Amino acid sequence: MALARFLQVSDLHLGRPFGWLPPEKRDLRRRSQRRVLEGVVREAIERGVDAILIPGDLFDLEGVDADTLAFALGVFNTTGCPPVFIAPGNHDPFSTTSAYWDRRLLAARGSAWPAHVHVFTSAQWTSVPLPEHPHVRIWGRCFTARIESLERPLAREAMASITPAAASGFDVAVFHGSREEQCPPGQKITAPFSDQEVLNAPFAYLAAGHYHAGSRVVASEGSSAGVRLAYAGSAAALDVSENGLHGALEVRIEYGYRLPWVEVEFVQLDPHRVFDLTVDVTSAPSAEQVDRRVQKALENAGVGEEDMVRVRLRGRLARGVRIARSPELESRVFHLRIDPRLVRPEYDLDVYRREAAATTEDRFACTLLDLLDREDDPVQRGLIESALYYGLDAFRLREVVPAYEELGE
Amino acid sequence: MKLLRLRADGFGALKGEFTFDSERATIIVGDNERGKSTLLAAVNAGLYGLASDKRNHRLLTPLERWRPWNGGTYRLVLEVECGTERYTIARDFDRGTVEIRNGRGQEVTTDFREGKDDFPVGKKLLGLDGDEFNKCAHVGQGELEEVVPTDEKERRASTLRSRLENAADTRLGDTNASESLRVLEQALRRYNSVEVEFTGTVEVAMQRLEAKRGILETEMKALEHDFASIAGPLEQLAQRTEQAAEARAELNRLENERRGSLAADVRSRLDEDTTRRKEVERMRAEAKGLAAAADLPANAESDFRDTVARLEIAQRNLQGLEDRRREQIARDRGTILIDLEKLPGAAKGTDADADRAIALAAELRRVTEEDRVVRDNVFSLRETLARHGHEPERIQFLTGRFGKLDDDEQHLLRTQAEVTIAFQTEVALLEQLRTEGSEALRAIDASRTHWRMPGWLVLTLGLASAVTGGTLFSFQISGALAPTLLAAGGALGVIGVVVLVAGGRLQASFRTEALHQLADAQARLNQLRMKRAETEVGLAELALRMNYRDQVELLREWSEYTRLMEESSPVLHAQDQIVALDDRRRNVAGQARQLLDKIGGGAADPAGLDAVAANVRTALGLKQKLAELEKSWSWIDEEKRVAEALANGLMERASRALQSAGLAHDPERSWAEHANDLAERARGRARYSLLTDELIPQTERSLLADRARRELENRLQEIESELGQSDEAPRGRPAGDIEADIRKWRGRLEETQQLREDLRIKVEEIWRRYHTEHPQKTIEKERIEQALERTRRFKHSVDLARETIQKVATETHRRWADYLNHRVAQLLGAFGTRIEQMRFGEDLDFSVRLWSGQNLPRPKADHQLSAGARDQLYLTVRLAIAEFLSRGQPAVPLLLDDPFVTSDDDRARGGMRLLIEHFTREHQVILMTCHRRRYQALAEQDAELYTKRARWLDFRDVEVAS
Repeated sequence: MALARFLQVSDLHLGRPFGWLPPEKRDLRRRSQRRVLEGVVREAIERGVDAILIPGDLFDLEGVDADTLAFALGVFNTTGCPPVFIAPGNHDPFSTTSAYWDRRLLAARGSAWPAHVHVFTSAQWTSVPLPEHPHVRIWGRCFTARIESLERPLAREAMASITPAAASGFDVAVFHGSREEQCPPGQKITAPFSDQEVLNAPFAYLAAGHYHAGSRVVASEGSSAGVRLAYAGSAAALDVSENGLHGALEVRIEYGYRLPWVEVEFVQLDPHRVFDLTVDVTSAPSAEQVDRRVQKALENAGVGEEDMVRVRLRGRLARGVRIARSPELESRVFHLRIDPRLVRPEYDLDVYRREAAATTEDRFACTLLDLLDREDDPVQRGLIESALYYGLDAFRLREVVPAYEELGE
Repeated sequence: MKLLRLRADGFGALKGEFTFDSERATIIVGDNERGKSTLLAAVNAGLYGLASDKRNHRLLTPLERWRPWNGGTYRLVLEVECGTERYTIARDFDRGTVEIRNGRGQEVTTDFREGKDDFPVGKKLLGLDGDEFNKCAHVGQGELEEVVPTDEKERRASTLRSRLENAADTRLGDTNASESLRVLEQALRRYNSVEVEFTGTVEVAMQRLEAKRGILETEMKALEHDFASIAGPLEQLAQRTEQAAEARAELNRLENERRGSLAADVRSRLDEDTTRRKEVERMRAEAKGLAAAADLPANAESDFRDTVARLEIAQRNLQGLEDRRREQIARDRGTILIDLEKLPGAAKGTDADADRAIALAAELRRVTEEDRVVRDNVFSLRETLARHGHEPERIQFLTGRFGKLDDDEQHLLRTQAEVTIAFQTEVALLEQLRTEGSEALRAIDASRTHWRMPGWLVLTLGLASAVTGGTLFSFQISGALAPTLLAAGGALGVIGVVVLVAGGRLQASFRTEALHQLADAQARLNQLRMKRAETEVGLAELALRMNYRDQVELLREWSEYTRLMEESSPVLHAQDQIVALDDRRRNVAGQARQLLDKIGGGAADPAGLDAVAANVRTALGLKQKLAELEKSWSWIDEEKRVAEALANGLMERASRALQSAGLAHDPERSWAEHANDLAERARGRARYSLLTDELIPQTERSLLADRARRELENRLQEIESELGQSDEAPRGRPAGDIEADIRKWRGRLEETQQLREDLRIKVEEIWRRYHTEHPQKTIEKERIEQALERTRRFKHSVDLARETIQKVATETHRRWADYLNHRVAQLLGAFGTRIEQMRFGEDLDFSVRLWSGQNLPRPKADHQLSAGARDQLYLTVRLAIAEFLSRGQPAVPLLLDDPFVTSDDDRARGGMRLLIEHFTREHQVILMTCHRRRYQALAEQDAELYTKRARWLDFRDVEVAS
């Protein structure tokens, strides 16, 4: 019986500008993102894995700055780094004009990938043997254009060129694609495949990239048993919407004795955890009180100063109270995003609906509420709702300041 | 609200106390300039205060306008009743203070505060600000029409309209369409866009955001265009890189070829040496075979032949002997001459020339070998320098600059660092010495002071004792006390002086030494600083002369120069060696050419020299043989004479000669056959002699020394091992061609690398700029677009709110407009004014329909109606508005300043009746007039009404400032 070990990491998106972070934190985040990749290599060496699998989106853009490129080229040059297999994704597709994949252009700029880094440069499945495991083959395919593709990588015709694995070995697939019906919010479907296609594929294990949240397909029969496919998720959180821990997967495959047995273990690499908290601010009499409620929620959730947090405010905020940035709260965490889309001012709209309109304000509110009830388009509904609250602010508070542009449902 | 009392301690011309009737109309009668209008202004000031803002009142502020004329106290107290509460408002305009107390005497000033220090009591109690109060409640003379502003914009902005809307709503004070619209419009006008640092109208903010977005898009497109345009240079860069790699490969190939050529040369030399060694072995073996003939006398054959010849001559005839002798000589001479003709130049040479040629050949080989070794060494050293990053151009440049400096300047530069370090070290040392000297002096002085103190004490005691003794003695006090004191004083004085002197001299030598040390240190310090200054000046002048910015730059390049000189000294030394070897080679070649010119020419190389030397030796041998041939036959004449006599002896001699040659005389064989045998032996001996004396030593001399051969073998092995890495077989081209190709390809490589570097810099710059600026601009553009979207949403939301409010406000307008239409017409009827109908617009403007059925808009009505009818019209509008605004809240008091001055008596009577009979039920009415008799006449006409519902107040009864 033999054991093959891999470290799977994907969707690192090196070179991402992190525009959603304040300018002074963008560079910090980019540095920590690089440290994650350094951690991948370090973990790979310490764990003695046979290869690092990168199923796409190592880079965020087709062209990255020289510093990022130099870092990526250099990080795998560490002594003891195992072979690296990269299948370019939709963010960093392969082309002969690619400044980081095309070896000729790399050489023109005086750079080169280390010899132990293999980049799959064909849109068709191609394979290379795994060093020290002669009967194990690593199959991969790359994206060749930065567009969403509906081509199915695991369809029967797409895998026609794949020859059967050796009886005493197995095949591993490294690719970038979308598992159908599992697409996280905010991500697009590209190179889709179904769970059934995964189970029918001749690979003992499929290392997939694209989704920034981890997920797995488990099988008990076929080409292997255990985990058949896994997304490692984004190695470093790219947005406050990417909740939880981020890192890599250690994949262990026992083979040579029976059906290959595959198991995976999550390895946390990103020191920044991502939290999504909801805070009710109903009747909070002041912005300071809102801050205190947020602070309490942070404490209850055990948020640390390295963490990134999205706080969704909800409820009815006392009239006249404006939600404002709190430098004190922001200093408690690496990044804090206050989402006020679910907050509404403390106007009792039911009163307007319930009682007869006697005043100009009543008639104004009733008119817009009627309009709101008849509108289905969320954008128009948000607009009407904003108009309603601005009008009520004008009637009641004699003050209108921009506050309701981001109302959501 | 009711006005109860006003006390003016000083307000314009007004001074005194006025009590108003809260249930009846108060008719204040006074002559002109008695302060009636001032009284109304004072009420207004009591309720709202006086403005002091010069921006709104440039000519004269209300505060300045109503300042007491006599310069006294500027103060008033107004007492009002509102609902069940009474308030006393005391305003001191001099001090700027306000005090408001309720009916229970409690101060409630803060309840009326608005803003920083404004206390608009009227606004709090009536819901009207000062302006609104003036328009509807306070009717000044000639100000009736001000209730409706002439300008449409002013009408629309009129807050009075808002009050009417407020009043139109059943829930008072909580809604106000006009106010809300104003707030919304203000929000649109004062929109703050942080992204473009702008505060202004939302439209302009959007324009600026769009403009900013446009600029960013343009900049991004420019960046993208630049970035896209590097595809060509990048491709060129790739091509240049490939060309550079190709050139490097070609250079490697040429280098291998050069090594191959070198290997072939070495191999050839080794092969040649091997051949020579074999030849020596062969010759030694041959010599060994000929060793038996070695003892044969040199002239044995000739002796034998001579003997035989003479014998035969003697035996036959002398003539025949002579013929044979000539033939023999001719034959030998011919043979030798033919051989000599084959060596025409060599015949001129001597043995010394041959030796010289051999020596020169050896010297040339030695020089060539040394030259090769040194060149290899130079190449290795250059590679080492290049690996260390030293550019030959830089070395030449620095050598050109600093090599020309004279000795003094080089000495100055060379020793500058040492001077600096020595200066710093010595300065530190001298400073330390100076400090130590100062410390020592201070310690010595302290010690001296310490020792002197007891001396001074003892001396003082001595003096005191002596003075006391002297005093006692001068008073002739008997006893031994005075002398004792004098003696003790003297003794103590002496001791004190001694202690002082001793203390003063304490450590005198140390002090002197410390002073010397201090002075020396200071002098040395000055000397060093002067030397340092001279060095600095010298360096500055040198830097200026050599066009350096300053001496720092000069020293930096000097240190680089010295460092490069140190590191490249082996190369320079080796290059000197190469030059010396070239000189030596040229010298030796020159000597060889001279020698070769002398002995027949040929290639001035070692092989040529060796060949010429061999030829010279061969020619010398031939000449010797020729000489010996002549010499051996010179005695023939004498032989002839004794031939016969010696025939037998000759035969015996011939036999002995044969015996001595190891041959036995066989009588059966002819002498010729014996002579041939002997000749064979003689040739063997000559051959042996040639081999042992010439050929073998000569060949051995041309052999490589064992050490040299081992070195060549090692070198060949080394080259072959290097060549072994190359698959390409050497082409066997001349070294010169190879060197030329290497230079050509090296030049091409350098050119390609230069082009590549230029391209790379260009590509990297565009690359860097794109990746630095594009993400930032993308982020900024997203931020601007988000801000633009927010701004648009804000505008749309607020617009929708405004449109909706305007739409629903129409109904509100209808409420108050209907009321005013009806009420004003009603009031006008009570006046007797013949206006049938009023129609108010939403901006408070109105039109009227006259009794004749003619409809007139307000501006036309202003001109067409009589002054009295117009005043009555506006008065009724005010009264109706005041009524409307008072619904559901404290009624507005009506302050009227001669409102019927333009009315005829009947209409004045009707108007007064309306006010007194109707309005006093809800409103407090205070009316001023200077037409005493007219109002008295009106009162007499309606005596009962005036008695019950009116109270008269005459200005003459109160104190008024003059």
